This record gives sequence, structure tokens and C-alpha cells, in this order.
Amino acid sequence: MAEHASKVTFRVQRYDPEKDSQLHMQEFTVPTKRGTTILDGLIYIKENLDSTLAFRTSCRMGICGSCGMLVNNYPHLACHTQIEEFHSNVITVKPLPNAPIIKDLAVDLMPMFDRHKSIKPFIIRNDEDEMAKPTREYEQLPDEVEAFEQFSYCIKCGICVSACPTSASDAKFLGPQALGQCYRYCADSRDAGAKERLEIADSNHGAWHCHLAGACSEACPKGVDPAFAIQLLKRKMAVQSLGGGRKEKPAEIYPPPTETKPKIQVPPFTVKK
Amino acid sequence: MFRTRLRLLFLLSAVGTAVFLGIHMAVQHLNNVLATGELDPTSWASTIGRATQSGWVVIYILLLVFALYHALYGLRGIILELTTSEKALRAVNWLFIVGGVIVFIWASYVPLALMSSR
Amino acid sequence: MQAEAKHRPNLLGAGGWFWAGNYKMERYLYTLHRVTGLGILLFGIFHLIETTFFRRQGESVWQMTTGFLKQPLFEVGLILVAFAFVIHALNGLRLILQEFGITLGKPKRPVYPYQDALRRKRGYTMLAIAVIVILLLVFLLNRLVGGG
Repeated sequence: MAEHASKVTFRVQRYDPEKDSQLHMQEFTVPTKRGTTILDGLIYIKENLDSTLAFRTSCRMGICGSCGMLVNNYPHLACHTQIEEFHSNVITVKPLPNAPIIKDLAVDLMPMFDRHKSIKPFIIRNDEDEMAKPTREYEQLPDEVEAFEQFSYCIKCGICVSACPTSASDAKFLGPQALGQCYRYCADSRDAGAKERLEIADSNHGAWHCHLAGACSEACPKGVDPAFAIQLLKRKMAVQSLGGGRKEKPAEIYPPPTETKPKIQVPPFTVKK
Repeated sequence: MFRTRLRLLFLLSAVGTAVFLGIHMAVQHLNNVLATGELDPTSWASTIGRATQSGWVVIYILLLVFALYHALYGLRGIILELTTSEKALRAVNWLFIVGGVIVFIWASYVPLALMSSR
Repeated sequence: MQAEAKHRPNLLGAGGWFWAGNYKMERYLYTLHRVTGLGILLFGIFHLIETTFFRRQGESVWQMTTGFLKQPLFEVGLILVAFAFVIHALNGLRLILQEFGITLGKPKRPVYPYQDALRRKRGYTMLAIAVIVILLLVFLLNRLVGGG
């Protein structure tokens, strides 16, 4: 197929903490062809037009979660968003809202990572010896995997937080990323830490400040659906607060440890040595 | 899970408010469609007519309880999303608890007093 | 840590409740729910004052109050409050069901193009909107039948 090269205007929001007191927009003309991504455009600008442009990128294949940015007023991963999707000759690129701006398009995701860490995003178990020195796998059926698998695809890009209306005004709100991951671990049949995690989600700036605007799930580039996870988390919290909740033990190691039988005795030699 | 229990009460009060306010709104705003026979539900005769019936007074007091809790807890949630100050939150908590109790006592006393005076 | 002090805060604030990007319907139902809730609360304060302090003054004060409130501005306000109640109540009931995941189905392995649970089960949201619109029309019809 013939590729028609054309030109697109990139309107990029600039901010240099060393020089600027205000945010401002700068325009660049970028040649594009079929398949050119927003990230390709930004790399072109950095290499050919203005080397001072700052943005974060790494894997360029939608897996590292570095290049989340607001493109034409919608959050995208720049690396897997093609310019031709927009059917426009002008592309406006701004940093993700609700995260502090370090420089230009690079935002500070540390507050989000801190909130993520606060919900204990790891399997919590009571068999500490097995956790420290694993001897076997934990038993888990396909249905049990499906209960949390969708939510485990989170790449922590911060797009959901930028879309959330509560995160827009409440800096202490745990946010869709952390709350979604809170459910991901609570729903894991290998986990025994739901009780302590649900207490964290029960805080003043926790799960009940999600009002199901659904923008986080709509914008999520990996189909993680944090809004859905949070609603399931709320259900878990409601059941727990009324005295219900999972009573069965977390998954056991598999295959279960068995008594090793004594080895078969070798019969004595019948012929003298 | 203290906040979850408060939130469940908030949701329960939402359903209660929807039911009782629904009755109130039907009487006030659907008098022609439902042919309730009320030409003006806000007239003195009409309001006093309802205020003297214990059934209506019970409905209004229940509506007051549900709506007050739902409104104040909802507003507290919105304020909480606007400030991260723990001090402000404590002030709002006490203001709403004390204010809510005063409004409840006053607004339930009025219909009860009206009913007993007739 | 010193570098962090230079980071420019970028929270959208309360403005972000209304707009943070070109999102779909549910994001604006959230805004509508909040606005109608605050509107009903504001009306409720005035309504409580009217039905307690003014009503206790007796028939003549009550009639004067209701007579004063029969201005087009307040009449339109009253219709808006009725509309706000219908929207807030029915959207709220939808939210209660969806908040407990009742109408959202089960988690699914994400397959491109991704569709989240709210959009996958949008029928329930559309049903709530349809009921809201019908009830709004009924409330409006009552006004028209009664001659305003």
C-alpha cells in the first residue's frame, strides 16, 4: 500500500521548572506517515527540532507504562496511539492531569506508587516458612485465576488516576490504580491478607470515594477495568462489615506434602563376597 | 470497617429517601396525573389536612431521618474530597452531628406540635 | 527530595469533577448526580425553613409565603428540583446496584478491543436513563394538565 507522507502540527505543553513560571504551548511541524505514533512524533521533535523537550518513554510497546499523556484531551499511551486515529492535522499533547509535572510531559508518578504500596500489593500468607523458602506451587483452579487475572494486567501508567474525578480534587484518595490492585490481591485465592487490606480501603480517603464515573476503566490502555475491581472491592467490604466474608483457608501448596515411605530394603547377598 | 457501615447506612437512607420523598413528590407534583383531587397541594387546608393525620406525620418524620442522614453524610463526603485537613474534617463531623440532631429535633417537633394542637 | 519541591502541582481540583478529558456518558452522569444532589440539598434547607418557621406562624403567613413563591422564577425552580429528584433518585438506585457489582457481570480476561464492565452492561444504565426520561415527562405533563 502506498504510504502518503503528510505533516501534522504538534501543540506540546511546555514547562521548565528552571525557567518557566507558567505553562505554555509550543508548536512543532512533524512529518507523518501511516503507522506513525504520538511517541514517534515526540522523538522526531526531540531529535530534530528541540532537544530540550522532556517526556518519559521506555519500551515503546505499551508494556512499561512510561509514556501516558493527554493527547487531544484524552489520556493515551503515546507509544501505541497512532496519529491517524485522530483524523486531525493538529495534535495537542499535555502531561497527565492529577500528577505533579516534573518537566514538559514528564510527570511524577511517585505519589501513585506510594499509594500502590500502601495497600500491600503482594500475597500475604500465614505460612511464612513456605513464603520465605518455597518448596511447591500454591494450588489454584482456572476459575480462581479468572477472578483476579484481568486486574493483574495493570502497568501503573497513571492514566486511570488522571481520569478519576475524585483524584482530581482529593490528593489523599487512594485512587483507581491502588484500589483496583487492592481488589486484585484480595480476590486471589492464595492470599490471606484481605482483612488488613480492606481496613486500608475503608479509610477516609478510600474505596467509598469512588462514585463510579467509570472514566478510569474507559481510559485504561490495558483493559484492566479498575472501576469494576473497585465495585467488587466495595461488595467485599460490605460483606465483611456485616460479619460475612471468606471463611475458607487460602490455597494450600500443591502437591501436598506426603510422608515419604521407607526405601525398599535391598535383600542381602546370597553369595558370599 | 466503621466507614463501610456508615456508608451502608448512607445507601440504606438513599433508598428510604427515594421511597418517602417519592411519595411526597407524587402528592405535590403529580396531583393532576394521579387525579388525587388536590387542586393545590401547598394550600393551608391541604397541608394542615395532612399534618393532622398520624400516617402522614410518620412518613414525614421518616423522610426527615433518611434525608438528613443522606444529605449530611453525602455533603461530608464531598467536603472530604476538597480538603486533606484532618482538623477541618473533625470540625465538619461535629458540626454535622450537632447540626443534624438540632434540625431533626426542630423539624420533627413542628409537625408533631401541629398534629397535637388540632 | 529537593528536586521534588519544584514539581508543579497539576491536580485539576473541583473543576476536574466536571471535565478532565473527552470521556463518555457515565463520567457526566457522575457530575449530574453530584450537581442534582447539591441542588436538592440547597432547596431542602429553604424548604425546611418554609415548612417549619413559616408554617408555625399560622395560615396568613403561610398563604403570604406560598403566594410570594408563586412567581415564575420559583415555579421554574420547583420544576427543576422535581427533575433533580427524579434524576438523583433513579441514577442513585442504578449506582447502588452497580456499586455492589450486581449488574456488572464477572471479570473477564481483557481481549482487544477492550470493553469495561460498565460499557459491556450499558443496557442497565440506558434503562435507568429511559425511566428517568419517562418520569420527567410525567412530571412535565402534570404541570401542563394543571395549567402550570
